[in-house]
Amino acid sequence: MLRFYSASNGVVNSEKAIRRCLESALAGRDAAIYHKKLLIVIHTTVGHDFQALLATARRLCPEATIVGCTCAGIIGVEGANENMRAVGVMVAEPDGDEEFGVAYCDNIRGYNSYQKAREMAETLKSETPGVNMLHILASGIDIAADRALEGVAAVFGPETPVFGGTSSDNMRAISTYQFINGQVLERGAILIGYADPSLRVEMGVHHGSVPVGEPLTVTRARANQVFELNGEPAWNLLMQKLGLPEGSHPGPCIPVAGLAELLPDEYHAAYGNRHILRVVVRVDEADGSFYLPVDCPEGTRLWLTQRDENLIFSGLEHMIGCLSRRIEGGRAVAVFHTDCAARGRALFNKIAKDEIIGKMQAPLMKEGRVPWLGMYGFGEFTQLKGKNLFHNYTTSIYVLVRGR
Amino acid sequence: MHASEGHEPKPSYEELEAMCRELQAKVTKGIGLQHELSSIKDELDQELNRFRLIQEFGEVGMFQESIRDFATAATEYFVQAFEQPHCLLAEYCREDGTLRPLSTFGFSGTDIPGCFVVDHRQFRRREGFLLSQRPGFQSELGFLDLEDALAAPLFAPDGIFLGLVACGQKSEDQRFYNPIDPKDRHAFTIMATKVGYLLHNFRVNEQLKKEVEERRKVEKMLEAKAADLLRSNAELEQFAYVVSHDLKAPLRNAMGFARLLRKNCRPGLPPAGQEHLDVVWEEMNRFNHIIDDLLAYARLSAASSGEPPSPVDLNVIVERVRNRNSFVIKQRQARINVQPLPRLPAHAPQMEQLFQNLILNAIKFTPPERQPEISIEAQAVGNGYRFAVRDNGIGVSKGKQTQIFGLFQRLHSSGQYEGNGLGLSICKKVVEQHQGKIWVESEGKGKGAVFYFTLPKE
Repeated sequence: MLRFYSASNGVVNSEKAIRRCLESALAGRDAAIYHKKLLIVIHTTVGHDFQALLATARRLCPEATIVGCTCAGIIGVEGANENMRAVGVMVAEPDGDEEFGVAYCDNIRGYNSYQKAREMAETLKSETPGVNMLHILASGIDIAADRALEGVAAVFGPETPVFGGTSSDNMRAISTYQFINGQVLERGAILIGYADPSLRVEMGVHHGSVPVGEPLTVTRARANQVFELNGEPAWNLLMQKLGLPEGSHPGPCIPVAGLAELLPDEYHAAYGNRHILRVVVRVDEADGSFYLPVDCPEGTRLWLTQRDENLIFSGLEHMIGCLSRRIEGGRAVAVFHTDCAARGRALFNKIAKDEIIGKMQAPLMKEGRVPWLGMYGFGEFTQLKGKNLFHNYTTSIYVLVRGR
Repeated sequence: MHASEGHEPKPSYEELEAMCRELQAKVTKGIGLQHELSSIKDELDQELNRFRLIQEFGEVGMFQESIRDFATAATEYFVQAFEQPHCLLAEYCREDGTLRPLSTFGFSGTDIPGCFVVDHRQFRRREGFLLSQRPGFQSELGFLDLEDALAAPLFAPDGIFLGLVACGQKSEDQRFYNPIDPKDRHAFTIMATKVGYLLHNFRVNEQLKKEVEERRKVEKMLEAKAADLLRSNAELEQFAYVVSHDLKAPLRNAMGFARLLRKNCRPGLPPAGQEHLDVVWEEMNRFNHIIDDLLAYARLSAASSGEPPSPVDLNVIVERVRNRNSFVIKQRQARINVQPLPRLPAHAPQMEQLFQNLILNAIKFTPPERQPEISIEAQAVGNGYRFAVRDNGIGVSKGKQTQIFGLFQRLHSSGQYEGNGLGLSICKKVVEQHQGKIWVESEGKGKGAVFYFTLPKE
């Protein structure tokens, strides 16, 4: 039976930061816990010295499996922190040896996402029997997330819930990093399998954007690479529609360049929206094409979007309400949380952010503190009506529940 | 139905296109405004956070244990508040005019010298600036390899230059870090001013701490010496006791034989022999007195460490002393006037010894041609009494008033006034063992003396 502990802080010295994080998370536990075969999930912003974080965590917990990724900000029980040096951890303590397993791959790109994800899933399945839910942390720049989900489903089946997110930097969309024990990968993916039959995961997801203006039609594309919109070079046209300079790097455009595409009808009610959003984090300067994290066939209609604060808040309440009902009778033992990087400081000031986080955490912590590790990333893996999907610009919450 | 019957005419293609363009322009403008608003919100948030951190540092910095901890906290707060990856805090060394790094952050691969020189006369005001705007200074800090940084001199409250702080980025950091905003130098100045004041306080406190530590060291040394002294005194007393006790037995034998010799053989000796025998007898008696006094002195320690003091009526004690010494008092026709004395906790035998020594001393040191006049009185003072034994004797010159309480200290030859120089030492010891003090006051030779001593009520 897995037990969870979490903490986060904004200490700038990397060694001190991770040490305090782990000490705070494991406060009150017997010192022997540091020598157990723990799972440590680390989220950090890009200003930290990753090697120092990992080495210190390893020194403190020599037997632990240490995984993680970079992000644009940390969300913990302590609140949100989007400084250049913020770190958060979730520690899972197993009773036995086989309550979790980890596999990883390097150099995962759009064109090989299916294959890499499938191989990773096969490794995990062969080493860890009884996996009942999957947690993925993947590169946030190049991955074709829908293909990766297919690769995982090919091994674990489409019904095994997958949650997690893609890593980010500080929204510059230059490089994002993943951690596996002492290694720092730049284009990697990590797959954690939880094999605790007493646990299930309940997920909630929503965005608060509305499509505006006339749709742009994809007129030339290959897989997730879009070359032309309305018959014109895709990126330049998008910049023009957004009133931004041609040739802009996608990073600074992320907060305003969300693209909406129609969601199949059967998901509208569950999603509370008719559209699912897509983010552009990579542009090919040579041909003016851009990459989306999912396939975008020719003929797809894409809308520019605008945030609607009322929708954000009402959607949030609706999502938490649904989650609370689904959890009723059980007990939330840990919460993982992936929020879009653009929903942090780029959209809300601290007061609004605190309010949003409070609205999410308070209903789940009515009966006491629940370990919570969230990150502002580039994308979110969240189930919708039992189907594993990849989202952008959402708040996605994954509540690990024990009982009923 | 005709268009003329109240229906709007269908817009032309051109009109529709213009409307679309207008709508798209509005969308674009709306998105742009939203973006701008978010940036302003973010900037305000950052500024608020920065001032919260500066405020927090004021409290955190003040309570650091050492100057090193303070400097570490300062560089970490600079890094956090100004979101830069590197920071150097250096202190000015007045002795050699160099700057010495107190703390650095994020320079792990950089070779920073133990001390370096900058022309600090260029810093006239408490003002932060951008390194890139002062190329001369940037080259002085060239070893840091910073592309740009916020920098500021540190001053004490009285305007004395204390050092400098620089917080910035290298060229490779610009991948993730925004270029430094010149507006940040105002907040940087505020933070640097705070650090300067706290650094000054730390140095002043450190100096005070050093002084306190040194004083403590001296106190400890004195305590150790006092303990040594007590130990060696105790050993000495033990030694004196053992020696005098062991001398007493052979002396008693020798005196017995000397007495027999004087009684039986003296008449048969020639006059010179008789005289020699008398000298031997007198010297043996003097030796015997010295041993008795030494024994009395040495016994004092043993006595005080045994029985606790019990209430003693000093009137009774003085009366007993008078009776015991009535022969000498009568012989010298001494007048002793005793005022009512208190009853207090003490060791009775020691009190007898004290008053006896003082009274006999007063009689002894009154010239033979003068009638000794002694008065004894007590006065309540604070938590005890001050006693005075006044005489009309030869007095004590100012320079000798402390010396006379020392062991074997005699101001006169034994030809003038007999004695062995132990009487007042015994008095001193008795008084001190009762937590009191003894001293003498005298206007000078021939003008009498007053021996004061104090004893506590409890």
